Amino acid sequence: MSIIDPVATLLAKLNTSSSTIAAAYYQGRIHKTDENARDIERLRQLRLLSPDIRDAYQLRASFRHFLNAALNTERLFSMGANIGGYFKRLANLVDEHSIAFQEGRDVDCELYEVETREAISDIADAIDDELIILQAQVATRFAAVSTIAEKKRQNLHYQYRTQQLVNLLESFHFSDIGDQLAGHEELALSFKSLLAERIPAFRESLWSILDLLNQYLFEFRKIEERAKMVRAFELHLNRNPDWEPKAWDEVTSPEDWLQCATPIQIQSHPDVAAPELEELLAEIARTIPSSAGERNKTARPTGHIEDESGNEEISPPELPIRKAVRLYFKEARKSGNGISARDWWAANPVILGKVQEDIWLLRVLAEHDNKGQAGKWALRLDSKPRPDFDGNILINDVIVSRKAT
Amino acid sequence: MFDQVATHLLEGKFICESTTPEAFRWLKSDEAKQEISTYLGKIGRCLSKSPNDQAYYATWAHVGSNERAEVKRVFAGIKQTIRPLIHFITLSMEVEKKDSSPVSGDRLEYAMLLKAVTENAHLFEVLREFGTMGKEFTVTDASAKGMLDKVIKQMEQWGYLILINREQESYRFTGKLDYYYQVMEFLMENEGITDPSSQEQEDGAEQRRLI
Repeated sequence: MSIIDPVATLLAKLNTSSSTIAAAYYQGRIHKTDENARDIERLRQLRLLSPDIRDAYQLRASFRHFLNAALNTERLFSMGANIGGYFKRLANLVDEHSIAFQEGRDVDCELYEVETREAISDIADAIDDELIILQAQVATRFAAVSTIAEKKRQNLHYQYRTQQLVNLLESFHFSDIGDQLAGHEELALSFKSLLAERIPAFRESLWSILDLLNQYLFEFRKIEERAKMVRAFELHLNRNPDWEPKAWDEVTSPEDWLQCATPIQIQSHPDVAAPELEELLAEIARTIPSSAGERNKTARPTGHIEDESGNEEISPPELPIRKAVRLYFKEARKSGNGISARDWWAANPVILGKVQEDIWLLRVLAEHDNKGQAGKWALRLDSKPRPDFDGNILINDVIVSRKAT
Repeated sequence: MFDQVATHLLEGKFICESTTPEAFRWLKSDEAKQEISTYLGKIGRCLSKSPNDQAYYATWAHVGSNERAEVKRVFAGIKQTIRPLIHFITLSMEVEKKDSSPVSGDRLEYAMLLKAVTENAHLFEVLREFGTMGKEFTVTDASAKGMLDKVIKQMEQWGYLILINREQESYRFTGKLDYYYQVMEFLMENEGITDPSSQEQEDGAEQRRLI
């Protein structure tokens, strides 16, 4: 029969609801849906979720604090642990343990010992956590907030908290607790190694943080003052567009900022007599032309023109339609009766290729328009007017023939 | 490093973390300061620093009649730059929506400035006002980009900005700004320029008391 470990069981349950926990942590609250309903019920039973407004749920404060500490999440004005309360509890437990011990109540003594050990750890962990938070805030100069006013308020908050902790560590009577626990080896060792011996280091860290916070506060105040000064000066200049400073350059002892020394134009030259520079200077000398501005006067040899042209003129291939027009007109010019363009198109598909019949007719007409006056041909249209008498004619064919002399 | 620092100082440059970081860090040590001061002292100059130790520069060891002309030249330069520079500082504060004025090392993104002055009519108007502040800001191209380019170039030339990334067009404010704040603080204190907000608060308190 296996022993049920409640811690392992709890962690296993948390693991199954991890996505819901993460959503509630990052969003601050979570609404119940079909998908997360089981998780929410389970977490409520475990007292890790509590109801929020508008049917939402949020993580319980203790669980959220645990996650904040574990994830080292930066919180604004973070509250910090109640270390004073822990100290008071420790003192009470030690007192009660002494009484139980004196009265011979062994069972109670054991119980108080367990609780005291835990209280010592609680204090050490709480101070440790507090230091981590404070150090993070100080290192980033309160990067989570942007304005100087906010940074100043954050600074004051943490300054107060650090100061309280320092006061607590300095005023608490550790020696009394140590004396009371002296007869109990285990407890005395826990108290000494976990807390008493670490207190000086804690105190030292807290003092250095406090020093930094004080310095930051001073700087923030200075920055704030400077910003105010800039605004005031700008306002003054806006209100007094003709304002000019008084003649501060004519006072007997001008201010330091007016005493800037005259800038000197510095030019350096190498010492040509220095033997260690010889190599470098020779290197530079080799890259310089023998005389400045010298030009290459080498004349180009006289040329001659060859009598025979060695190049053959290459003309581009003639387009098929151009060739067809040329051949058609050449043939038609010789014909007395003329040659129908449509008949020629039908008779010469090889020459015309893919040229369509209407395009061919238009091309023949265009050739006549361009060269008809100079050409030695006559053109006759086979046409008829359009049925609606709009002035246009329908051309059925074009006949080209020899021009009458 | 000594020769670099000495040369920069003699040339009238301000040495700060933004412009010459190595030289600035070197100059922070007491030995380096001593070395440079001794050298400058021999030629009638001394090493000065801005109030918050953000920039070093060379000043006259003594101001006599010979140095007066230079003092006048420096003051003329301050008078010329004071208005545009304060205008530029407030413009960059408005663009970045910050309640703190820029200090040495603060970045300034050209793209962000351009976007802001292009999209915001008020900021464009603030930018246009540079046109009334001297011939250094006169532009033929009256677009937001044309004007902003001119202003940035001028601030760079006066030594208050330095280009740190050409591709991203990122600039950084230099330590010379600390020197400028010193001048401004002096003028406010000595010319009776007061913070109107504190004056208004005092007036309000007085009014409440009377009521």
